[in-house]
Amino acid sequence: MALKILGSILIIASSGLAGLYFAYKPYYRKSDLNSFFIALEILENEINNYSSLIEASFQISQKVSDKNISEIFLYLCEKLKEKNGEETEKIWTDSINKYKSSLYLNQEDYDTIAGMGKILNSFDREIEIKNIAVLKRYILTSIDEINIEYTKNRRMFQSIGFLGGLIIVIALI
Amino acid sequence: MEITIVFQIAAVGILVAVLNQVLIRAGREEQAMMTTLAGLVVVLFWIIQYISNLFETVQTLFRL
Repeated sequence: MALKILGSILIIASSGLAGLYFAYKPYYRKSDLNSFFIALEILENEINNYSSLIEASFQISQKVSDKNISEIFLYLCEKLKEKNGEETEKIWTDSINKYKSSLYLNQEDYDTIAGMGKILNSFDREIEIKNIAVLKRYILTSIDEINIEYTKNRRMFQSIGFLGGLIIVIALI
Repeated sequence: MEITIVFQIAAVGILVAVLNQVLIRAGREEQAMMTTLAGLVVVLFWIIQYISNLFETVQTLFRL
C-alpha cells in the first residue's frame, strides 16, 4: 500500500511538473528574446559609434543581465580576439550552439538568430543596421505572440499536468 | 463485482469532464474531444469483462 501511495505521488508530481514546464516555457522564451533585443540595441548603438565587433560584443556581454546571452557574446568576443582566421558567421553559429541547451528559444528563433552571423562584421554599416532592425522586428512580433499564447495556455497546461497525473493514478490503481 | 470500479469510473468521469472544460476554454475543442474519447475507451476497457459476464448470465438464465 505504501508503495502504491509513493508511486501515485511520484506520478502526480512528475506530470504536474511537466505541466508547469510547458506552462512557463513561453515566459522564459520571452525573457531570452527580451535579452537578445537589448543586445541588438547595444550592437546597433555600437555600430553607430563606429566600434569594432570585438568591442561591441564585449560591451553587450557586460551590459546584458541575462547570463546565457552575455556568455554568447563573451564567447564571440574571445574567439574574435584570438584571430585564428575563422569566419565570424561560423564563430557566431558555434557560440549559439554552445549555449543553445540553456536557452528556451524554439528552432525558428535559433535559425533567425543564427542568421545574424551573416551580417556581423560586414563592411556596410547601413546594411548591418537594416538587418538588425529586421531582427528586432522579428523579436517584437514573437514577444507579442508569446504574450497572447502565455495568457491563453498557462492555466490549461497547469491543469492538464495535474489532472492528467490524477487520471493515470486512477487508471493504474 | 468490486465496488471500487464504480468509484474509479466516477473519478475518471469527473476528471475528464474538468479536463474537457479546461481544453474548451483554451480553444482546443479537438483535444477536448480526444480526451473525452480516451476516457470513454479506458472506462469501456474496464467494464468490458462485466458486460461479457452479464451476457453470459442472461444466456444462462433464459437458456439461449
